[in-house]
Amino acid sequence: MSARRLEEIFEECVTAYLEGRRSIQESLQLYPAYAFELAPLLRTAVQLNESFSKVEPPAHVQERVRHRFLSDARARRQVRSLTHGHRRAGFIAGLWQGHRFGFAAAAGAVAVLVVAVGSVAMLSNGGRAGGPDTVENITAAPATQRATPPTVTNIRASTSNIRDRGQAVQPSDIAELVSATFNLTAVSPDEVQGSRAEVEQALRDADSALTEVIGQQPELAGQIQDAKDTLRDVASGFGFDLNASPAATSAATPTPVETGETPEPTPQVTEEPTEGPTVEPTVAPAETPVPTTTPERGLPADG
Amino acid sequence: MSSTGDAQDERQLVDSAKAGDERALSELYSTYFPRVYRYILARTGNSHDAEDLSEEVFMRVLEALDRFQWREAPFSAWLFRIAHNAVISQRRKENARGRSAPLLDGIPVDSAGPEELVEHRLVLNEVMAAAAKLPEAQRQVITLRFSAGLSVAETAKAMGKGEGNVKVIQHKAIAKLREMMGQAPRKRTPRVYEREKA
Repeated sequence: MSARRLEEIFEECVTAYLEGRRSIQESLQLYPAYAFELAPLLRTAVQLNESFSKVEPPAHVQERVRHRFLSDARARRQVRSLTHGHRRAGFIAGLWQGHRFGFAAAAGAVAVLVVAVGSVAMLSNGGRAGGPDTVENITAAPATQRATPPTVTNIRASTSNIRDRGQAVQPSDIAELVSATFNLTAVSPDEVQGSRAEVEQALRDADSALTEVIGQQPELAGQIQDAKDTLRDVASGFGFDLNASPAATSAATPTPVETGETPEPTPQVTEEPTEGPTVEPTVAPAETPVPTTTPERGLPADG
Repeated sequence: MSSTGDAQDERQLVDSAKAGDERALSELYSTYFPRVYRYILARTGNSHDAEDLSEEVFMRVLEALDRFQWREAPFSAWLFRIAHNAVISQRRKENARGRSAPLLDGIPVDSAGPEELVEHRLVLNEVMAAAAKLPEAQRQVITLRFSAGLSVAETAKAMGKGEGNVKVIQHKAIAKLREMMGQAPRKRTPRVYEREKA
């Protein structure tokens, strides 16, 4: 009797039993030549199956985890939609950055035209200077606005919230920070001219807080990376580079920072979250297996 | 997931879950949470660890679902690889800080009455104690097949082995378990005999 044949028949009988297609007795009748060896093995398999199939997770645990699972999924969707929305906004910002000289030239031409038309009109009106319609009054720029204080304040509040949470940061906390950061894109760089240092500091603080969370909660790494990307995108829209040390950008923005803290450089985070020392290299090459194209092949050989 | 139709249904379900459909996510959770829990319980022998690690596995699933692709392995194989990694990770932590004693008394068993409950727990303890003595690959095959309910093909994908290899390992594992459990005073329960006769 071939051992391989017995293994095949045994597996076929086990599967038929597990799928409810055949009882053990029926299987033994189907393979009478193997019945003597099959019977005890199949009984053990049935015992195993019966033992495990009776185990049920406690209902309260099942519900608690379900709640967390679904609410985390919701928060992730929210972050994703915000991030994608911001990336679309980033495209417009990129268009502006790429063609700003062209736009500036066009704006200049329009301004010259306005001045010329205005001068002609003034001359034709007898040159009454100082009146309400003078070119001087028309072209007077509004006073430079500061960044909308609530926007920066919200970023700071979200950052503090993340820091206060310690090792229990929730995806919704990160979503909140992303949302607050995203609101900055509604403010033009000119409007924050007087508060650049404040904005930069807030973004750097947020970035640094997120980096700390990755170390403590690697399971959030993917979401945090998205949030950090958003921070970088928004920062670059204002001309800050969060990857550069604060000193490099402070030359361009000499305004003293409010908090006086020296933000840490923000290390790049790997896209795949890993558990560091807890990962068993021979068994699990990646802690959260990336696409299952290369199934893990390191399990110890069976003796 | 044995039939093609089931596999297609599952594929649709997983794709909807990836797209953010909450109902699909909930259905996937309902399908797999008890199986993941049973698998981890069978691997760790500790109901508290089974609860914590099952939760961790589903959070990791959420984290990695976007990157899951239907190329070689089915969803179940992918999911149980995450569960396997979580168990290994936990074991390493335990080895570093000292292993905690198994908490088998609290294992929730679906039983009709108190007598049956005691009987099932005794049998389960016996089975798990015997399975714990198996070599890693045999233990892995037994838990994937009988506690997680994976097919041979899914088990093979989850372990990165060939189906033939899994069949051989399964056969050896069952033979060894039979030998170990045959030496124990409680060989089989009357219920098993009744079911066999039915």
